[in-house]
Amino acid sequence: MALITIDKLIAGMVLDTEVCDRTGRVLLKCGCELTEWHIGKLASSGVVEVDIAGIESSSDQTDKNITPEMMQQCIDVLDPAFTLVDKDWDVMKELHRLAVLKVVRKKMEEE
Amino acid sequence: MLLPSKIVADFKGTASLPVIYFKLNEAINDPNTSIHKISNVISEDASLSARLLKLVNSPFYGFPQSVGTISEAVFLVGSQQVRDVALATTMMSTFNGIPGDLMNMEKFWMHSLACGVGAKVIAETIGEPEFERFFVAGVLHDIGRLVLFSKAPEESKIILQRAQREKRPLVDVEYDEIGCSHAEIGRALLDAWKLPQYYQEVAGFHHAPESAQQYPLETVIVHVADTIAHTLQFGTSGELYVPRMNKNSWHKLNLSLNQLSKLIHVIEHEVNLVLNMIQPKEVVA
Repeated sequence: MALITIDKLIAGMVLDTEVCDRTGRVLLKCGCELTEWHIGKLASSGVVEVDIAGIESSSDQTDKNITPEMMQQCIDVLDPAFTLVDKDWDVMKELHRLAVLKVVRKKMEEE
Repeated sequence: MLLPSKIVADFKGTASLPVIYFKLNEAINDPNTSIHKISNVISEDASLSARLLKLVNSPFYGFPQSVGTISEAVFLVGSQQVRDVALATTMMSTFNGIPGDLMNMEKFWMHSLACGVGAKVIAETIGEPEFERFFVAGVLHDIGRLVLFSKAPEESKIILQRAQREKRPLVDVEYDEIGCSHAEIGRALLDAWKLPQYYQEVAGFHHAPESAQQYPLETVIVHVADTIAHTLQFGTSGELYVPRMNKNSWHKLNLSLNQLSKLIHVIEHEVNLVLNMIQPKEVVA
């Protein structure tokens, strides 16, 4: 599954989760095969991204190429900024993980 | 020791709220007002008009049809919300002249906008009504730091250096060095500018959300959004360390770790959208 932005949707892609508008109204159900009409409708309803079944997002593909050494390098760069927080707390652990991933992905894009 | 009200009184003499804000306020509060009158005020400022149209046509608002005119934008977004957007987007030009070696203003506004977007996205996720108003509260949360940089540059330099040397949060060192914090100064400034109580309280307590009395949830949301913006390194407010997140504040939002991960994805996307629309390079002289 991948989270795909509206501008990258192609007719024939299949939704992996239902899509709701900002009021919570279901626009399209899980499993719906998208047509050009659906894509136009999603865009005009202000939907930014949808979950698509059966493909990997570009970040998933990037993540496969991340080596433990790269991860450690980025952790070493980031860790001083986390000096004051409780890194054993689940929420901070998750935020730290996401921050490290962001730095690694950015580094890989630059390379 | 510096008093927030004294610093703000000095500051008020050199910088004021953008004129367009007062004009909009006057038009909105006029008992005989109309969408046409409010739109005319906005149309006087070409840059604001362009930014407003870009913003209302973006997924940030998500209107089903394209918005082509300022009067349509006022009709759809609401006059008060338009005034708030005008406030957030024109605020950047109010703080010119802060030395670059003290603060990179482009990065400062990136942090402020990221906090605003984060607060809006969190509010939307937990089902808060009128979640757009959280955007402005987030953008304004660190405004006191800019007053400090403007009115007390030497003290600010000492605070920044000492925080780095002693590995402490800026807010703690501010108390040691000047006897008050940027949060208190921000609150005093928003009070002096007669902005709503809601913005004052959020700015005043974003580092101590449990002290907020009238708007506790709003303050909690901006507190969490601020931590996320620091963690994900969206710009900087001068703070070198990710601030401690208040655990009770996080629990009040009732968000799961899975939701947090999704939230951050949306925040990253929307921050880039808003940055492209507001273009700090263009407005920060």
